Amino acid sequence: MSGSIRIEKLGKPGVFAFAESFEHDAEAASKDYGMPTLRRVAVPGYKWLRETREAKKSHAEQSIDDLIRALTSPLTLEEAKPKPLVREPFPPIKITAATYEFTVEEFNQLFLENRWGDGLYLVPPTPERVKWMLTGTSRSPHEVIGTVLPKKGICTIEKIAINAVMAGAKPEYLPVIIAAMEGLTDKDFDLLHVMASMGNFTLAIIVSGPIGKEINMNSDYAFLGYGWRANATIGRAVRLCLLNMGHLWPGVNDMATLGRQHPYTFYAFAENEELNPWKPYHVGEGYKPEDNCVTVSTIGSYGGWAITDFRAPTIKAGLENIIKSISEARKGVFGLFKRGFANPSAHPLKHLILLDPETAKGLQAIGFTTQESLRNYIYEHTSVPYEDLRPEEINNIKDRIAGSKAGDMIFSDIIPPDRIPVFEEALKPGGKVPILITPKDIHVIVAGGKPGSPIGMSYIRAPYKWTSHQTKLIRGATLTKAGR
Amino acid sequence: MKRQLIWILMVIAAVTLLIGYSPINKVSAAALVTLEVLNPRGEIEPPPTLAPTPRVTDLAGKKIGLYWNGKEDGDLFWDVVEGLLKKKFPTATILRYKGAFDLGDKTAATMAKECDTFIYGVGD
Repeated sequence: MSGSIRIEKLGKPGVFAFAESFEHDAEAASKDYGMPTLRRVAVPGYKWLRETREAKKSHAEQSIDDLIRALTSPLTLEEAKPKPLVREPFPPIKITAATYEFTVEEFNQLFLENRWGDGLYLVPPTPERVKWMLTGTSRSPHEVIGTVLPKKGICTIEKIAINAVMAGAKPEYLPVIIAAMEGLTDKDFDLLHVMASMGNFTLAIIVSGPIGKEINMNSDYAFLGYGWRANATIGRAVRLCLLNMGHLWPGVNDMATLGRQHPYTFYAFAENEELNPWKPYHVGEGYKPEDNCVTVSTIGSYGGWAITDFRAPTIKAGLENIIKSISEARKGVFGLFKRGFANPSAHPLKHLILLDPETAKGLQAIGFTTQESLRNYIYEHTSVPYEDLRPEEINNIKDRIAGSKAGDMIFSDIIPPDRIPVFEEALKPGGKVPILITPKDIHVIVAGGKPGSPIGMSYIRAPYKWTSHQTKLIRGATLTKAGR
Repeated sequence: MKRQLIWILMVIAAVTLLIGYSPINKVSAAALVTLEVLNPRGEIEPPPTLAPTPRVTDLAGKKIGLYWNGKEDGDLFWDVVEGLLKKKFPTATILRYKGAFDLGDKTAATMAKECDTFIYGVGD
């Protein structure tokens, strides 16, 4: 939609074509991008992946007259002079009922009817409660963190606090939630894809540093499960922030066909620093050991890239499982790449490798003295020797390099400029071509208890922006020693 | 008659006063609870509102751009659209473009330069 409006702004008339189940999404997007009367045509019968080619042809035949009409019939007065879009205020709300209990019930009904809640019971964000929540940070409530896609709602510390109250969070969690929102609103982080795509992608929210223990986050047994207020409400607060400040709703602009995994809380957990044999994750990302960080990372849909179980009878067998799993991407990344075609299987991936403490310790015992050594090993052993590549794979890799240099490829297929020489060097006899763009696309994090399960969470490394993985420093904490 | 009317009016007045000072009413008025909550929604700074560009009057002889972000099988739809446009407007030229979800400034400028009009579609 935004691309269509770009061309219109340059003085050329056009029409935006969309599948007929996306009317709300298309109408909303045309307003979001400032052209509410953009000509739009719905193409009937969106069942792309379940139809014969003949059936798909008929969609074009059914739409052609509408497309021609949209291109050539003169603009109406209403289209030529659209009503100006205005800033809608969101003032406080008063709810009155016979008793406090009924009032809270009315509040919950109202918020859900307005699509301001996630379906679970909400804690009313009274001025008193929000003030209490804000005691958890030294930062100004008026500070603007960024804007939240898809509708670019302005994200302030106060708004985060309001949503954190609704989620049932405590003030000492607020700095963590703020840092998560800073990651998600970062200009390089692709928030739109994980919020709006038809794919049921979701988020991992990972805390590393001493603050995790201080606020009693679960990083041990069942770290992805229930029972910990910090894990649950931090994740829920982020979900409510995205819903309310991004103005999201299923089927309107969040087009996940099944609904995103762990939709109420995402996967929110802390790194198990106590049982981690290596340095904390954030130190490997360039932060100081005493720092506290939140990492937000998009992870895949049900099946597929979602969660891969690497359990095996021995440590070496478990490592082979990791190598084997990541190597499966060869089929798509080398085999299915076609310049100009957006095939998700051909997009390079990034991987979260979540190791339980015993597996981490076992890997350390067999020689992986750092996470970097493990990450480099995985990168090396998932790379494919030039001599083993099929001719079409070699051509595809050459094409990907050429497209990356020309800068005319879709984002998700690009090799960044600083990595192009690596691929060029590898694509000759004696070389090994990596499936991963860089070893840094493997993120090793120790989480879980004894016994535990090593798992992987994977996703496209750069869907429509440079990254789907972002780490931010937690700061401004007032109620914990960590995160100040 | 006059006396009866006065009696009726006095009874009505008494009943009205009774309702007004009724303990039941006092309890109802006092029990109403008002909750004020702050609004969780992020305010949106709307972009400048723009109108679409005036249309071409006819597609004959025009250069028509077709943009697609390359999602699986979408090319088939656009192949058919191209074929149908050529059939209806044999003197038109169809130009095909591919790129990202948002085509970016460079491709937008290219399309604006090369095309008289366009159809834009993306898939995800």
